[in-house]
Amino acid sequence: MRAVCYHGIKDMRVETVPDPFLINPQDIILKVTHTAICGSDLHLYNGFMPGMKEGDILGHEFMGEVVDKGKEVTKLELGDRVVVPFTIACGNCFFCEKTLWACCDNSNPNADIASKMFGYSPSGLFGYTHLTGGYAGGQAQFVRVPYANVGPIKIPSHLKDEQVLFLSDIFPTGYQGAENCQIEPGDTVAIWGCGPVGQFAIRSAYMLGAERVIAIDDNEDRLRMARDGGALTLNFAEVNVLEMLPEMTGGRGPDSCMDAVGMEAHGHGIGAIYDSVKTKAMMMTDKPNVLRQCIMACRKGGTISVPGVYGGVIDKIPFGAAMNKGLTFKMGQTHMMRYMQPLLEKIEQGLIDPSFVITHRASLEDSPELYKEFEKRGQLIKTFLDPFAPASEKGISSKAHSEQRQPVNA
Amino acid sequence: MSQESILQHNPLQALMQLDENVGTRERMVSAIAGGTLLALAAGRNNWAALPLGLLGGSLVFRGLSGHCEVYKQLGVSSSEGGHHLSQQGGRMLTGEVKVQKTVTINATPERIYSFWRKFENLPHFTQNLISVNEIEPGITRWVAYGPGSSTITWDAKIEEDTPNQRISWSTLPGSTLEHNGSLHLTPTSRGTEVRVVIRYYVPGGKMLQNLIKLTGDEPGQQIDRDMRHLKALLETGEIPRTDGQPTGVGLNIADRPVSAVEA
Repeated sequence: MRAVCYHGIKDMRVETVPDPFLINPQDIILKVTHTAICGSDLHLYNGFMPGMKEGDILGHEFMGEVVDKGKEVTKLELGDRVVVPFTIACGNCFFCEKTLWACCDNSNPNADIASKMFGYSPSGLFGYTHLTGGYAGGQAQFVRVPYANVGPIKIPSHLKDEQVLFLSDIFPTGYQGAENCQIEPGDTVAIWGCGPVGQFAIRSAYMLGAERVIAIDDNEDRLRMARDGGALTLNFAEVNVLEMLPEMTGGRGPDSCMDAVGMEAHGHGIGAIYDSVKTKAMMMTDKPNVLRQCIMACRKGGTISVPGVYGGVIDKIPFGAAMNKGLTFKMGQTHMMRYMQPLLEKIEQGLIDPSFVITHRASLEDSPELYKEFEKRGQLIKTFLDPFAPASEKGISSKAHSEQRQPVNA
Repeated sequence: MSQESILQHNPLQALMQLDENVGTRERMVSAIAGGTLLALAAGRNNWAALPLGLLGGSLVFRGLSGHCEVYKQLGVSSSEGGHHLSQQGGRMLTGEVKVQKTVTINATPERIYSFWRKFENLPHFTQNLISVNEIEPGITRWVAYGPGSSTITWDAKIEEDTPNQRISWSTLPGSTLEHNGSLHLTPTSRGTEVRVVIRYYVPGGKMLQNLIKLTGDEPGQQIDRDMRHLKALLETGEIPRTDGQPTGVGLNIADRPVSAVEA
């Protein structure tokens, strides 16, 4: 089969690799009908997450059709069309029983390494580092999905792939990010990062009753999409965010602040330069500029929500501000199985069509170029990839071109 | 003297009684980056010289000493070192090596006890056991992978057998790997706490090699993994694996020992 493989920093290649096969009795094999590149894949692309190995197959946002199943798989049949969550959960441990699916005790084969780094191991993830299991991912034509009775959800035939694919990560992740804001009526929520997760977080915050969402980025395309979702926007390249937010909230500050950027925050000013130097000197693994701003901007007694991914150690966090203002921190990888079914129902009811976020429709074969484009944070906000389509002849950078390539949905 | 050996025999570390908690490669990078910053600082005569110099100096110190105060405060380490059996033979030769691990399993003590009491089940979740059989009531015969392509066999006597609470066993005299072990089960509101304690008595030589083979170079590491696998097996009916899955270079990462996977 064809698959996107990691070959080092900024070196993703589409290669022919062996097909996956069933390993455990609760496994299925999926023929992937559509897949996508996630912002968190860029952390791998840029070498910010430790534990990648040459040849690793990437991708954790995918859906497809069941083509093989193990003998303990009871909830799915061959031919079922499913979306698969990016977190892998066993369904039977203490954490799964508490619906803390992303904390599953059993799904990470390399839990010993993760325990050394994090104290205890989180769940396994598809197409991410060996810290979280090194499971071969779904930027491929076929993928093995373990614990198939727990994660995958069946999709009604009248919904198109483009409407449901993002149930695999970014829609639930944005939604959990908004839920973690502990929104109350009248609340203003400030969201740093208008990438795909930020976009879904904006819309989810309104669904959860926010009165106002202020979205922050420096990319005009992303800010425009945020405004389409009803957000007020701030371009941090043009204004001082820490001065503007109090102005916009009667001097109080936003009730909750969300870091939908994570460990590779870009930015301006002394903090960003400091982070850049320290990470390049390998004295710090992550760049927490956004998190610092969230803490400083948040109103007293407010909530910080962190759906953005961090992998290691950060410093110069204004923890005194956090403590003395009595902030609440809520964060984590997404407990996917809590959200997939309820959010599928919202899509069915027509309350949201997640395909709004797609800017580039292309073939899996175009992935290396798409990674490059995504990393530049230009027009590309979200990809929608067909793993069986031939490579785009004229390249992917032209938006007009990508619109010509309307996909055929499975 | 190679770079490796300079980093291993570390006078600065010994002098200042510092723990090594920075890995070899990171130390080299740290020292080089620090040196570069120091050079940059020396060539400047403006406001940036002092912070650059301080940062450079601290990086050089970190590189040479292998000790990072930040890592220490955080309780993290990127050092490959640690307590390796093979590197501390002198201290090991006449010692007792105790390995112990506790996990909480979301299953009843009855289920865990009956699974373990059937000693034939042990190779299902342990990496190094080939077979265990109760050859006569109360006497078990264990076969494990030994050094090279050899196998090690020993017989053990079940010393204590309290259903749903405790099982203990010890090797019979003349064993190739003298040890005793025990399983303790404690029901709690979070599941059953399962504690395994194994004490090896190691006179050195062949037995030390057997122990290293059986437990890994770092005793405790193997039992961690085995106990996690026991938990996964009892909670989910399977052990999470990626063996043989496709990769882009035809290299099967899962087949390599875990210690070879860089964190």
